[in-house]
Amino acid sequence: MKEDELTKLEESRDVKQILETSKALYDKDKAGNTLRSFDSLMKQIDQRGQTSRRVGISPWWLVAACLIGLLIGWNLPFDNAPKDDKLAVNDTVVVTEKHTDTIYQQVQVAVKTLDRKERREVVSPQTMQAQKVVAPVMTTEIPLPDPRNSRPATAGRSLSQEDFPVHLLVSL
Amino acid sequence: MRIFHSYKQDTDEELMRWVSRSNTKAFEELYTRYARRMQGFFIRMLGYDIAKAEDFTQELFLKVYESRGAYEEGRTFSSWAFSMAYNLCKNEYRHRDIVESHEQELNYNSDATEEPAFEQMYDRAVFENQLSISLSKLSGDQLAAFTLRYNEELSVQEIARVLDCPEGTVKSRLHYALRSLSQSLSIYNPIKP
Repeated sequence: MKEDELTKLEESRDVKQILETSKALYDKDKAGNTLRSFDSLMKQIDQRGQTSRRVGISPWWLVAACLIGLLIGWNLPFDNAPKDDKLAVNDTVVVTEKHTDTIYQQVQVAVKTLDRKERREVVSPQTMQAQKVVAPVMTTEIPLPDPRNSRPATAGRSLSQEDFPVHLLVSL
Repeated sequence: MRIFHSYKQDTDEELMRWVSRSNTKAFEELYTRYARRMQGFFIRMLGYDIAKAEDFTQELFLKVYESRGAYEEGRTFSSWAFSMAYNLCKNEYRHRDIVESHEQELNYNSDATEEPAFEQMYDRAVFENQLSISLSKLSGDQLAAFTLRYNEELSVQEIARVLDCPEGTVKSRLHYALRSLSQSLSIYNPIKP
């Protein structure tokens, strides 16, 4: 089918003209251009051969290199050196992780009922004035917290003081 | 001994047998027979780049010499050499995308689709010019099949071996190439009434 179509196409007048012109052009191109000489080709072949020869490693050189490597490896006194001279001793280091759980201990606390005294004294206006001027630090003795106390936050503080933390008071 | 023997009488295949034994004289004879043909093929395939075609011809014969040991006995030398040449062209197409740049390199002012002036219609030079443009617009496979069949006059079987494809594929490539050329050159054909 295709062959018939191709033959028909080849035999058509237009295509024959195209083929003839194409052949003429092809021959003109072949004849019209200069060809490089055979000597230059051979020169190039020789050059390539030399390059590949230069790159190639002789097996004798390879064997000699291996022998030298073996001699160096066996004859150098690495093992004869005293062990003390070694800079470091290889050892195995085991890394362990210490973990401590939180331990809760029940502590018995003696509950004391606190009586709050309410004193109501009549204060004169002069005294009131004087109390306002004088700093409370000067008048009230506030001891420093005792670190040996089991509850340092409350150490040295009386319950009657107004600035006592409410949450601690609740726990008590 | 073949010291005084002339290699001119030998076939290509016999010469190749001598070349495989590193015979330079036989190689020279092969070069004389095929270098111009190969250069013509490269000129056509590489878009009329003469310098490149010369380089490729040299490269091809270098390859022929280097792979002389790989030459299969019984295979025609021409198809073996053309298949190597075609592979070189394919590599070139892959690397440089020469088919597309070819039109710019040729720098033709006229376009194939443009209608030429009346006095130029039947001018052979214009027709040849347009034929070159149309050939350059063919794909690499079609151009190779066309050149080998109608310019190098190889058989379809040989072309199939060169292009490494079935004979049917070669025929269809030839068919498409001819149809494409005939369509693009129909208005330029000087013999058309």
